[in-house]
Amino acid sequence: MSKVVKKIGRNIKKVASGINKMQKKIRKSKAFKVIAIAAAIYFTGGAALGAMGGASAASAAGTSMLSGAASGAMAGIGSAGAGISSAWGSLMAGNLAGVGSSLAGGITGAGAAGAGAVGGGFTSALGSGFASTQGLLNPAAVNAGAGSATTFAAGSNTGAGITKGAIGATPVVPPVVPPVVPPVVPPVVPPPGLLKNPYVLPVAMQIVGSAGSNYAAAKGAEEREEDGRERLNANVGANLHPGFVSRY
Amino acid sequence: MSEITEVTAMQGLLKQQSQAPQDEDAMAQQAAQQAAAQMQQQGGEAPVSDPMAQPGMEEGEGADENDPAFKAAVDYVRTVLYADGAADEINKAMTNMQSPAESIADMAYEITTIADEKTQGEVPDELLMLLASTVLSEIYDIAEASGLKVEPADMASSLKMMILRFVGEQGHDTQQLHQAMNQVSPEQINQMAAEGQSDELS
Repeated sequence: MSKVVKKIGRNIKKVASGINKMQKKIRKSKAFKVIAIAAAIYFTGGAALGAMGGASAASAAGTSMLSGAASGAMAGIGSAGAGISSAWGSLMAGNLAGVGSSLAGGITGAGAAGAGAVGGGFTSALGSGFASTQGLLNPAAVNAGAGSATTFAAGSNTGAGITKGAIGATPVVPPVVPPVVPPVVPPVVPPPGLLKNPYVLPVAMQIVGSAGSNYAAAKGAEEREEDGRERLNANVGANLHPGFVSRY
Repeated sequence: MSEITEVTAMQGLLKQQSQAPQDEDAMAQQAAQQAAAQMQQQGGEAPVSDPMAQPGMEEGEGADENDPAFKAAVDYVRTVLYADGAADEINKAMTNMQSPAESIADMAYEITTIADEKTQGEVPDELLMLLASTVLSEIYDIAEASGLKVEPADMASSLKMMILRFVGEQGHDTQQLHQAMNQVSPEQINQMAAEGQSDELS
C-alpha cells in the first residue's frame, strides 16, 4: 500500500486498541509512564489503567506506577472518563447522536465529581431545571398533564437525567438552511420604438432642452465673472491678476 | 524569539530527515524484509499488515513490539535523534519555547509521521500508538535533560494534541472528543502521576 494512502487510511479502532500494547512496553523512562497513564485516560477513560495495574502485579515491576495511578484515576476522573470512552465509541461508530449523549454524560459526571467549574455549572443548571416542578423538564408535570405522557417518563431514563432523555434519544438533525439565491436584476433595455411614443418624445425633448439651457446659463455666468475681473483691473489701475491679458 | 528558534529547529530537523542518506531508508526497509524472511525460514508466518482480518483474533493482539516494521521505525527515530544530531537541535529549541507542550507535540507528530513513511507505512495500526508514545517520551526525555521544567500535565497535553490531530487527519470530527478530553483537568493528571510515583517509591 502506498505510504500516503496508508497514512490517511488508518483504522482508528485498531490504533486505539494499541493502548493495550503499552502495558508490555513500560520502560524506565518516567516520561513514558506518564504518557502511558495519559494514553489510558484519553483512549479508555482510565479503564485501561486497571488492566495495566493488574498486569504489573503479575509481571513487570516497572508498571507499579500505573497500578498506583489506577485508583486515583478511577476516583478522580470518574464519569468524565466514561464520557471520553463513550465519545470514542460513538466516534468509531459514526453515531453523532451517541456522541452527544456520551458527551453530556461526561459533563454531568465530571460536574458531580467536582472536576470542573463548567461541568458543575452545566450539571447544576440541568439538575435544577429538571428537579423543578415547572415546565416540560419535569416528567411528573407531564404525567399529570396527560395520561398518555407516561411514556415520556418511562422512556427518558429518569435517573440519568436530562442528558440521555433530551440529547441522547433525540437524533441530532442539522437545521436545513435554504440556499441563498441572489436576486436577478434584469438589464435595462429600452423597448424598441420608445422615442416614437407620443408621450415619451415630449419628455425626452424637455430633458434635452433643460440640459442645454443649464449649460448656457453656466457659460454665461462664467463670462460675466471674467468681465468683472477685467473691469476691476481697469478701475484700480493695477494688475491684480498677473498674466491676465485684457481684451480692451 | 522562540517562534523563530522553534521553526528553525524544526526546519533543521526535517532537513536532516530529508537529507538523511538513502542508505537509512534502505536500512529500515532491509531490516523489515530480513526479519520477515527470517521468520519465514523459521517456519513462522510473515507478519501481516492487517491482522484484524484474521478470524478469531482478539482485538489488539495482531502485532507486538517485535514487529519488524515497528522495530525499524523505532530504530530510525533513535538514529535520527541521537546519531544524526536532531536531539541537539531539539535541545537548542527547548530553551525558549513559549508553549512547550504544543511544540513538542508537533515535533513528535512530525517525527512519527516521517518514521512511518520511512517504513512504507508498514507499522501496524495497533502499534502506531506505541510508536507515537515512544517518540513523545524520547523528546520529553531530551527536554528534561536540557533543563526544561516539565509537568506530567504537559506530557498529557502533548499526547492529547497528537491524538486529536491524528483523528482529525483521518477525517473525523474531533470537537466532541476534544471537549470530552478537556473534562480531565491538568491537576488530575499531575495528581495521578504523583500518586503513581509515591506508590512506586514506597
